[in-house]
Amino acid sequence: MLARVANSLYWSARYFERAANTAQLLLVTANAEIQLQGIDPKGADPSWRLTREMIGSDDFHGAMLDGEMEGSVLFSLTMARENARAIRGDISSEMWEALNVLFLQTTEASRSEIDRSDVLDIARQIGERAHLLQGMRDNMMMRGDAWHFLRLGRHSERAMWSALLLNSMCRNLPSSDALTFLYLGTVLRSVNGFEAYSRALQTISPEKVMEFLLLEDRFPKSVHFCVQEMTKSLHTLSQTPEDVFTNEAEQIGGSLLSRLRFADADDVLANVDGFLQGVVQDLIKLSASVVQEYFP
Amino acid sequence: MSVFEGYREHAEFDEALSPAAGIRPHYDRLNQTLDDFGQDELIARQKAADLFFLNRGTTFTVYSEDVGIDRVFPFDTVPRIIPADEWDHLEKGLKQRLFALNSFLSDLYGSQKILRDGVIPHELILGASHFRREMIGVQVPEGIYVHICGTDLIRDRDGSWLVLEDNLRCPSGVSYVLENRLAMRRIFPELFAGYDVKPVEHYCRMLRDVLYFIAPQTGDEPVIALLTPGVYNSAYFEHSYLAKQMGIHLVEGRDLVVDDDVVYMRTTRGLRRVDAIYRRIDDDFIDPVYFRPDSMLGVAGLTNAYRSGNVALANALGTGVADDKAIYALVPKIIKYYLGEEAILNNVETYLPLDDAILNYVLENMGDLVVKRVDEAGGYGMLIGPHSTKEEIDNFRARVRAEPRSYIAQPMISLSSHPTWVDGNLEGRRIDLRPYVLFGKEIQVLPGGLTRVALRKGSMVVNSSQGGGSKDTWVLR
Repeated sequence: MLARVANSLYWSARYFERAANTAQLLLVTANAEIQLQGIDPKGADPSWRLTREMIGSDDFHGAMLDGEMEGSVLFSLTMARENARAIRGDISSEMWEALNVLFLQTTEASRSEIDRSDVLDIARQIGERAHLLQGMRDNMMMRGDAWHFLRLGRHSERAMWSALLLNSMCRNLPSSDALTFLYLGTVLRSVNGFEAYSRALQTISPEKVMEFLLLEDRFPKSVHFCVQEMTKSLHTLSQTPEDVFTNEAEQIGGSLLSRLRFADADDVLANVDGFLQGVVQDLIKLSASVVQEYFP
Repeated sequence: MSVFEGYREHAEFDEALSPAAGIRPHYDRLNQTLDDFGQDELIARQKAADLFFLNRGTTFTVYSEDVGIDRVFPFDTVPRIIPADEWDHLEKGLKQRLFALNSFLSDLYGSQKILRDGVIPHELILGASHFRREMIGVQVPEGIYVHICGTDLIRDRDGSWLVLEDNLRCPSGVSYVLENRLAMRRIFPELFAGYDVKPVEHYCRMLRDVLYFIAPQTGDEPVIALLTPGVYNSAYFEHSYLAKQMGIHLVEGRDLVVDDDVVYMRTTRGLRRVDAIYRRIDDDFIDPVYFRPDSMLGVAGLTNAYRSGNVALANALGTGVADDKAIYALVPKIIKYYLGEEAILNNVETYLPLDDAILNYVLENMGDLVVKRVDEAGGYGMLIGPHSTKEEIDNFRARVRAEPRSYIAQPMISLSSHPTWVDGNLEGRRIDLRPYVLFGKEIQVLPGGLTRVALRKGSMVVNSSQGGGSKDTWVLR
């Protein structure tokens, strides 16, 4: 596969994942605000603070539709589509069309006068379309290099997103138990994980949410799961077994994966900040080395 | 009420209506089917067609204020229909023309017999900007120069077909032929009832076969690529579309590198040899070593790799010398010279002011003529006598007198008209036709081609940049 094409596949997937994550976070934060009306008169719920840390803005409308704002949904969607334009030949026509339609609709919305409930609708649609697109990808594409570069891009972004989300979650814990329950629900819903969490665990606490989104290898948005997926794709691309390392990306991925796999939850929780910092640093190095290896 | 009722033909020749006998037989059924729909439904279908193209991204990108705006190439849902016997005639004519032009190129870059025999004046060739000295004596694969040809045809006042222009470099537009057909099948399947329309969907297969045919035999499965200027090119949609349909790589200049006269592409697993390239970059930009040194789009060293026979190019370098406007006037002579046959398809009558008699005729009648510079295209460097002021005509007369060899003159041509949707009604709009001809193991013509339509009332300009649209083109069996 052309190196330029691999580059565009990787970034298209990454930006699309970012657009979907951003939209979902904005959607659940806005919903939490509605739920809390009357219950939280002083505005003690930290959800918007967390959102501002993640996206760089707590202006709901702007963070969705301001194409000039780096980090907005429209910005990421535009980048995803620009990259996809360069690789129209390498993804299925249906995927391109689904992405294109989503981009056109969102751009159209950004140019019209619309109220908050319409923007919420758009955020919901983006979430649905994201799943549609992923279904197309997994059901229509050969499990060739193109698919693996898409997977690398998607999971690089997702791992980083979840790690940063946990970081922000810890920094902004509310003081009252009632708010903590709602707040952790928002965090889990922002990665579509509330139901999965509830099924796996009976009680909800910051420590358990941390453990779940960091170490649970069966949940698709946990850092552990994402790094596992990335290393699988890296070894498929280099045609090596998972215990043979032929490049730096595989090495960093392998070492991070084993740390996540063998981490003791209590040890991690004893030094959450330090552990998360290490994970984020490794994820940065990992994506840099993927770029260096395949599309310098 | 009949949708054709109230339709007035605007040209001397209309495709669907004859002044004497009413609706032409091959449009009868279409007229009836359209009638059954009713106007509201027809307008709704036209809207569905527009959305179809927008969502699929069958678009041009227009950049203004750094924002990319996607424009749909306007599509008209009334198909243009060509009966079988008419098409047979066109097909024979197009094959004859391409075969002769290919022989001409082969001769020009070989022994130049036609020049030595004095059939074509030397100076028309050797001074032409598209004559590529680098190609002299080069053995091109299978002796084919023009693998993909798009010939522009029009119909005169009496309905006779004329060749307006040969496009032997990188003719574009075929993706719209394929997308238009797909749109019609999806949105207006009922219209096909009662018509046995020849398919066009095999075009990419045909083109792929041509590219495999010319690729050098290295023993391995050949690697084929389409070379595009990139996503900012207005025809990028077509490039990515064709590459995808053919299952070949879509590459940009920066993806390719030439080492020891072999072309490679940069892949995630290192360099990989490329055997044949369908290039959609003009000669001028394709290789900074030989042509424009400031070109960022091309591949340094590609010309040498090509001359060494290590890579095949479609079309060959240097084909532009055979489609300039002066050579156009001489194509009937070229056909006669190489094939000993009369041209099946006529040209628009063209005056080449090479001798004084013709020069004087052109100068005296300039107010009635269309005068074009031979090396310009797209409506530039052109005078339309009847639509010009006396001052403009005088000005052009001076230019032609100074450089008679750089100009040709033609009488005002007329294009046929075709029923076209305009604000919910059918009106006559002018059309032309660009069929696509492929030259591989044999010469093949894609049945139909791109019918372009001038959407502005009375306009003869069908170019997409100037308010043109397109139609699906049906060739009947």
